[in-house]
Amino acid sequence: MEYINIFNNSIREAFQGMFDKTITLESETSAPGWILSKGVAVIIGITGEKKGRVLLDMPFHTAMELAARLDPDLNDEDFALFTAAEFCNVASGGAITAINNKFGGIGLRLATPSIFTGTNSKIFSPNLKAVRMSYNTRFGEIDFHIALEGV
Amino acid sequence: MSNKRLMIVDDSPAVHVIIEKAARANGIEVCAHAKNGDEAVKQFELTIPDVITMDITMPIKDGLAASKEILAKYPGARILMLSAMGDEELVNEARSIGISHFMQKPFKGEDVIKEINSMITA
Repeated sequence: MEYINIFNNSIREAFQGMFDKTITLESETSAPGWILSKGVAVIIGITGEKKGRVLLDMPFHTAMELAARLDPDLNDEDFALFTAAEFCNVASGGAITAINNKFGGIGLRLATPSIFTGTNSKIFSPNLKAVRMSYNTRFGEIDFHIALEGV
Repeated sequence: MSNKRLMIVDDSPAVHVIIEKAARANGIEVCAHAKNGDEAVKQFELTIPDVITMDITMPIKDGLAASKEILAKYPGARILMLSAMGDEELVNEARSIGISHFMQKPFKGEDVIKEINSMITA
């Protein structure tokens, strides 16, 4: 699954570009059709010739710390959620751009992000096989669940 | 007092914060905010900013449709397209409606300001 490497590169670049810190892929496993959220979950749909979605999951304190990297003066919970969503958007956008350029003509596009909060909230996404990419950062664990049919 | 006026269009409040902070630090007034293309068209009419930073993927009306509307009525409008997406097809679509300035996210606030300044002085 070549697209997983593309996503990994884009996630690392987005993290470095937004937060000036490195992020390391710790593991890559097959994901179940549901997750128990760590606290903040962001889902972005992928449309076009292929269907898919990106799900980002991180603890709330991680989102707060990432938001503080963008603006240390703005200690705001909503801003933390929007920071997580923007990170997911930038990481996904970079990956989809690279996939579009590599596999010309498939015209993949991203939907606007949906944000969910609540520790241990169960989020189901049963119709697509996903890969869970787990990252360890100095701010906490961040998981991406990526599903993209047929690429 | 600054004479450069900027409108920020993005559905992500995080982007508004990053760009506004950099703009203020560089003497650029943020005269309007919009979180979708529909608001962008309306706010442009009300404020006539010198430059717009425009996201592409937004609810209600996307940045390309909004830019097309603005440029149809105000051909001299300066639009800096800022998007997480940047594939050739999308960039070509942006160029075809008259947008010649494009930056792909992630970006640094200071890089956006540098681009805005070059657009204003060009």
